[in-house]
Amino acid sequence: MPKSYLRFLSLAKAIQGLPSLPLLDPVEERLLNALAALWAEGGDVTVLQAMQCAPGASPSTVQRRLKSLQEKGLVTYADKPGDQRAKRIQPTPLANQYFAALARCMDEAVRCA
Amino acid sequence: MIRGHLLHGEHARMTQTTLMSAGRILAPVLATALAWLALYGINGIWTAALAWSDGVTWFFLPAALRPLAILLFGWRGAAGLFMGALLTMAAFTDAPWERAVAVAAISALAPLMAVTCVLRCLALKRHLRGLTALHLMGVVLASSALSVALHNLYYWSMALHDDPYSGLLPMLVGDLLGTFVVLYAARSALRLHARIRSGH
Repeated sequence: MPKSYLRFLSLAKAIQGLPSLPLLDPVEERLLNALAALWAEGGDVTVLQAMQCAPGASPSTVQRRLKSLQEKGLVTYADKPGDQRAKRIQPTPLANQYFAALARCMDEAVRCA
Repeated sequence: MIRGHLLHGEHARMTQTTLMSAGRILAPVLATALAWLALYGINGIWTAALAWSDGVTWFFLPAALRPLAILLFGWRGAAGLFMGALLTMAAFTDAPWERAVAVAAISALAPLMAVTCVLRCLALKRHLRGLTALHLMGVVLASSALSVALHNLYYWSMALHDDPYSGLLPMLVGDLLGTFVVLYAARSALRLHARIRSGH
């Protein structure tokens, strides 16, 4: 393999590792983690459930943070079958990537420990 | 006659090898010089508003090419930086030729020295395996610092600046800002490319 290409690959990897501003603020991060726990249980997660799973945050704060998470492309809303008034909160592929990246970091930390 | 054919074939192979070697040397040089010209052209849009003095600006996009070209192409990158800087000095400034050559030489040699030193200190080989974002920032910082110091020393020695240090800060800020804008644009492009390929 030409050395220039190897150098390009190494350089591209280093550039991709450059630090970025935090994607989420602490409240959003806590809410997303709580939602992830509910998603992992396999059930539908409604807005009401989201409000209950974020202790310490008022319903209006949770509403605002859910909107913010939606704008950041991490959650999406879908109609709940059989109940047109209720909305299900679902993770987007970006949220799945976010959790996969966190899992990779934890695996690496465990390996290094 | 057969010998003649063999000789002809040997000659053709040698010519092809020579052309390929020349291409391997010239392509990175020309690519670096063209990238320098392109970034200098883009930078020209706001140069007048952000210029601190002749040759010093608060935002200088081509500075990103200095460490990147050297990391990718080594001395061929330095030759491309020299060519690009010389062309822009000739085309966009009224500097005398000896100043254009000196500034272009500093533009090429300062990052070459800085990158070589940093890679040696970090015990990284030329193929850059193991280069991290932190290493890259170290390379960028060292390259910018040496380039800025040498440029300012030269401007002072030519009586273009009153002292060798007042231009340090604006030039360093300009180089680092320009470099990080290009690096983060490259990072976004690489991530977008990865996302498109993975179908998300």
